[in-house]
Amino acid sequence: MLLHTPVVVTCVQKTCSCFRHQHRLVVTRDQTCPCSTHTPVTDWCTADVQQRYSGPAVSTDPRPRSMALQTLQTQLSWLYSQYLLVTAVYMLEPWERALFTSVLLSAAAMVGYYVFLPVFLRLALHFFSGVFGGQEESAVTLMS
Amino acid sequence: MTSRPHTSEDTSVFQLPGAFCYRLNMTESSSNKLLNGDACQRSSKDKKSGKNGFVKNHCLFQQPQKYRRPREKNHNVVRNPSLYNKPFVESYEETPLLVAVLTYMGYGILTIFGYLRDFMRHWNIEKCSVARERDEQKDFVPLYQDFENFYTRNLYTRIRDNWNRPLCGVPGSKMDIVEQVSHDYNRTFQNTGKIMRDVINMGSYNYLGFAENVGQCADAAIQVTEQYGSGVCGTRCEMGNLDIHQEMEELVARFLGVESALTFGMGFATNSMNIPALAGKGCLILSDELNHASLVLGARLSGSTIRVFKHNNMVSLEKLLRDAIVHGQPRTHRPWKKLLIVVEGIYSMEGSIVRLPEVIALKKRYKAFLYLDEAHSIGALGPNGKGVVDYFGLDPKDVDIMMGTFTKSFGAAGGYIGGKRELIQYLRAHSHSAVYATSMPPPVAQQIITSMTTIMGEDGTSLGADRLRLLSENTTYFRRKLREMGFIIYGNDDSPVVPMMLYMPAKIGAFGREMLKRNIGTVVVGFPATPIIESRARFCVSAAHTRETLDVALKAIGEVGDLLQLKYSRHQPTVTPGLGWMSEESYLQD
Repeated sequence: MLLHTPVVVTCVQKTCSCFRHQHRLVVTRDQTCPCSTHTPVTDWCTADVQQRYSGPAVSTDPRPRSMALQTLQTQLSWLYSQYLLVTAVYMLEPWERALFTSVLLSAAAMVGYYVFLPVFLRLALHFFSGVFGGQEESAVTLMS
Repeated sequence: MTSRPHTSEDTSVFQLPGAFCYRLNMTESSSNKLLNGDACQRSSKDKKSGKNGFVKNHCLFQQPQKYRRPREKNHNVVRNPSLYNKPFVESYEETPLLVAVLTYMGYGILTIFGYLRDFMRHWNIEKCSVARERDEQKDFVPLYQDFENFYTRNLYTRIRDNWNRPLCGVPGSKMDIVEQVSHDYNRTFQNTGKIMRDVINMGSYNYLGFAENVGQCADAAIQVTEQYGSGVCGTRCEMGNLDIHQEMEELVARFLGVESALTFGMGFATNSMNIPALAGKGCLILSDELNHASLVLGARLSGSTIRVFKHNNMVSLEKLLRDAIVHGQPRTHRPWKKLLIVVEGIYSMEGSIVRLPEVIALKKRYKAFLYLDEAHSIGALGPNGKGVVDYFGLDPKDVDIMMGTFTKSFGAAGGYIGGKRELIQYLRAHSHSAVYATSMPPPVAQQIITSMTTIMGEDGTSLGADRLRLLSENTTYFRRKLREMGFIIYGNDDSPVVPMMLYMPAKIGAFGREMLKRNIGTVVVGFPATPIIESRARFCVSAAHTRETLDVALKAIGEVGDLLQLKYSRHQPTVTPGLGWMSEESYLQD
């Protein structure tokens, strides 16, 4: 519940430390960031919250999510953050990030299409031809 | 000559560390070998050491005979344990292979994007706001094409908001930082107008907590400013020599335990301007691999030959000394005019302490001079705060030139050199810094005097002893907790400089920003101050930190470590939860 009027701050760093939120932060004096990786703001702050907490903003969430979905979302955002850090894409500007991600995804798609898809199709064909082939033979014998 | 097999008395010579009689034995045994080469039974040591078969290995510090694949770099093996009166524990855990591979991959991706951006800037697709040659200079030798400039343009600038943060108060245990924001990806910064108050300071070299604007030191400095003013307007040779400078020099000499001392206005200038006065052409400087830039600059300015030995590695140093004595100067083979060994007390990027007893043993054996730079260790090590010499319990007269700075533990600025009276008299006349540089301002000199008397306990209070004890307790606690959390920490267990490994380039920027979000100011270091994959965050523990402050900092470091996956250490920490209080007590006894 909001006991005080929300204090709006501008964040220094555009992305949240959990790498989910991209907007300006709306912080109240005794609330935490709704994302579960942040601990309560009052732990480190003195009275002047607005000068200190320059984390990212989260849009106030009207629909409460279920626990399982929340955990899944947390996990995925954590994985995304690890990907950004390990590949050093964290340091790039947004257009560079888009370029890198698109190149990576297209490379992965090409590998999938030219390498894995024929293998998959061949295996599937082998499996299903065995099934259908067997049925036809038995039908023929019954008819004759 | 009868054939005489090698008896054990030949090999027993190098069991005695001080024995200098190897020359006699060498000629005798070499003559034996000449005449009776194949008839003699050789011991295993002779087989190993002789290229020509005649030179025996009489080194003080021997290489290990067997090759073992090192799990950790071999720095924590003490070769001569009899020289140390307390355990010397250093550790440099090896980089995990996966982390190294991923770090190189990250740098590779950044390099590709760096080339892309340089290409765009060159073809004017993107507006260029970095340093660039003018059109008239395009055919000259390029200025900005080397790797350092490429790194600065494309990697450093992206995370530049972690450095040069402006403070607007005393950098004590907590500080105030002016908040800055950048709208064009760190090319320019604007103040938001807000100030971040009470940011926990884990980066200042404030080892004994003398960075304060209240208290005895500050009052004395104010009084002296009212008496002398704040500027000196002259060099020591001319009208800039105040009585407060002489009082300070006498105090410094008494503190260090040397005959005489000389002080300078700037610590960097102390090294870079005095080494040229001490060494010149025809001298040999043996300097450690990881020496500070001021020592490297001073050695290069002096014009002497410089040879570098591996970091804190006494075997490497001994080999260089022996080669220098045996072979002499490069072409003429004349003996060197002097041999100067240049080491530091605490190396601030590694957190390691020099193996001073071994260096002194080597220096005495091979008749070299020792220049010890105690920038970080003076005031921070030793039961009385007198530096690394005090820490090992050695005699200050063994170190020929003791240099240090007042910037770190004394809360002032400047440097000093201490040694014999003749040396200091010579430096007063021949050092560039003493002759040409402006002398120290009076309030700074008074700060040094007050803080030094406090540390020595001569002001009547026990403040100095309390601070020294607090510093060593905080150091032990902080290092132990970080190790238990699973981070890779480099360096000696007693050094207040704690480097924590980050490795990956994105984590350098992420760590600095995340810690600032949690209200803690840290220093992160990357290339070129460290090797390219070994970037780190460097914490400086202070006597001004209370246990609660350190706990808050440790909690935040733990969180950020989990968030960024920084807990690389593969050692199992030895934690005894039930005996928690007892293990604390055992660490307090030093």
